[in-house]
Amino acid sequence: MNFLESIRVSLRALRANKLRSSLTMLGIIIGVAAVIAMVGIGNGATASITSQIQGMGSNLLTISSAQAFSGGVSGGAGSSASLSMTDVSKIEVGTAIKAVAPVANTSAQVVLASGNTSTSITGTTEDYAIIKNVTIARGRNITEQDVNSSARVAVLGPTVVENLMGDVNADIIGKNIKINNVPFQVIGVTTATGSTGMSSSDDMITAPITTIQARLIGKKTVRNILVSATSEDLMQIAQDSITATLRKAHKIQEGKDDDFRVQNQADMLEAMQSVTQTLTMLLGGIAGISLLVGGIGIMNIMLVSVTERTREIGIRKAIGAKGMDILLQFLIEAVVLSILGGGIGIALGYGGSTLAGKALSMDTSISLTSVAMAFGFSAAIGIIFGVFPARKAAAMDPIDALRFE
Amino acid sequence: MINLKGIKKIYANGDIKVAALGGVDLHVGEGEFVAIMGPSGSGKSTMMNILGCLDTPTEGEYFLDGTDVAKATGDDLSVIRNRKIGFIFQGFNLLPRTMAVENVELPMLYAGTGGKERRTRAIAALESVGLGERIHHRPKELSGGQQQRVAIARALVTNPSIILADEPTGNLDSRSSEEVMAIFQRLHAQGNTIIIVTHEPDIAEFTERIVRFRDGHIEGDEIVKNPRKAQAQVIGEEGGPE
Ligand SMILES: Nc1ncnc2c1ncn2[C@@H]1O[C@H](COP(=O)(O)OP(=O)(O)OP(=O)(O)O)[C@@H](O)[C@H]1O
Ligand SMILES: [Mg+2]
Repeated sequence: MNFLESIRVSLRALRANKLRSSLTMLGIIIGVAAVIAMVGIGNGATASITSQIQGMGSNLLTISSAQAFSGGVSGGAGSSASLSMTDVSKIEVGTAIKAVAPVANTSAQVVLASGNTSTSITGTTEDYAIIKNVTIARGRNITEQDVNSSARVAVLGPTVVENLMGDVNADIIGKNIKINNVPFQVIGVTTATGSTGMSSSDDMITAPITTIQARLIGKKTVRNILVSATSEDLMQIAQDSITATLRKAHKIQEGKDDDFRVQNQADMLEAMQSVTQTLTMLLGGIAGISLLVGGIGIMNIMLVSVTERTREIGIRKAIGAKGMDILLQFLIEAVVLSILGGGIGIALGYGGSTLAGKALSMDTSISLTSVAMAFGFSAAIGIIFGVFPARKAAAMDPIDALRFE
Repeated sequence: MINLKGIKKIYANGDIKVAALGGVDLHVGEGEFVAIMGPSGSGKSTMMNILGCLDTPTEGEYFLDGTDVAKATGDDLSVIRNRKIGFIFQGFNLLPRTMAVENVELPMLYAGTGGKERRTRAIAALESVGLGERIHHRPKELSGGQQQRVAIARALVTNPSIILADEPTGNLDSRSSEEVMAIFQRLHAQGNTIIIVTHEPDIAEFTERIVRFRDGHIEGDEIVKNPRKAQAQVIGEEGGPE
């Protein structure tokens, strides 16, 4: 009997028992869907964290007060804030340091006659745009003078413009907006970067830090100081020079711990990626176990099926089926179940991870390799767990099989 | 055609050994129509299973068409069963949930015959046993006599050297039995070699030779003087009685 005929015989047997076939597949469907979805979500999380960290700026060093970390509440810097505008002025632009900008941020309600939105407000200086790789699309950036005079001026991200006026390109320059009831004049709009997430520069308002401190926060707090190193090679030198400068400025004695922290973007990236990758592997592993359980389910049902169809096997052998014909019939049944289950599982897993991605607003990525692997894996499971029952069927003696009641 | 020399079949159940066949010599020539009779437990089915290559003897030689098949095993036996033997069982042994025509196609499937030819030959075989209008019926939609005729069609569709039937009428009423015997007589008239096992003397009277078994030995071997002619109501009367 040729292979095509074997497949036809197997398919007919599966169709004759639709309910059982679909229930058997369910184990594989769930297993494969879980693997695909978990790996997809995991990869998506890794990618979105990576892009968020990279979106923070290039060759970025982030200085924050040590208390902000030890206290566990990053916003509660208040009285123990160890960073000030004085620190900012001490860090000088030079060979290793390209730009320095303080950040004091809050979130606020923004109102214009035509609409309102809530967004994050970043009080900073002119250099912020350089560090963030943000360019001004229309109008102008905040200047040193704005900062010195605590001018009530604001540069808006394109998303903010859209939320306020319903159109990204609406003419908003020169208009007065109210941020938490404080009037600000719009002086510029930034170019869209397409970045999403919490540190998106598209959905953000920047204003002179002095204005934000005085009008919105009410304290002379500097949350972070962002420093851009001139190149990746010089990041360590920049980091060392900042540490030395700030220790001196804060009068920290030899042997005492720093009261601030300088974080390197690459380190952050590495740490976050290793966390998400471990998580992906863990989730994938758990899902893999459910796939294994699905495979055992197939074997279980196939064994029952072989016993139940002993007479059929006897009849087939009595009229000329060889061991290989019977083996193939049952093996193909198992493989078809697992491959079909795998296919449906991939579709479900893809749908599931896309939905999860939407809900968590991140791009889940289903790689072709993970699809191919899940598919190959389910086929392998069909073969591995199908061989034992199929061999059992093939080895049956026709006389004994026919006598079986 | 068939030549048995000193065939023994011994079943060992622990220490107890049962000799189902205790050395049987038998010759059946081409075109013969033989009935095997004997009391229950005398070894008739054991004999048929060996003749049909479903089972192998413990000892002895079995020549089928000149080749010794007593020592053949596994897949070789499958091939012999497929090519040379048409076996008809008392319990019909059709695949359930499978149409009559597909049941008849089955041996050709394992012989590697192409799909179109399979269908044509299966339909022809079903027509020859008077079931031309029942080809799409499933076994449970057919009467016992009709099921047995499907089984006969399946046995003869490959043109086997011999047709073997173990109590082919055992589950049938006398009318269906006679219809089945009429088919056998017609096949015999066409030159087929047929061996059947039966308990009923009046069924044996339709054949031309009766071999009697007792306790695993051949006790008698006689020619039927005037074989009865089975009434073939069914042939020509498509479908037959329900
Ligand atoms: N698988 C087996 N294991 C052990 N003993 C067996 C087996 N098959 C048959 N026998 C024994 O072999 C002997 C012959 O059995 P067989 O089935 O050939 O008898 P039979 O002539 O066909 O009887 P019946 O007319 O009742 O069908 C019996 O004594 C039976 O118990
Ligand atoms: Mg018997």
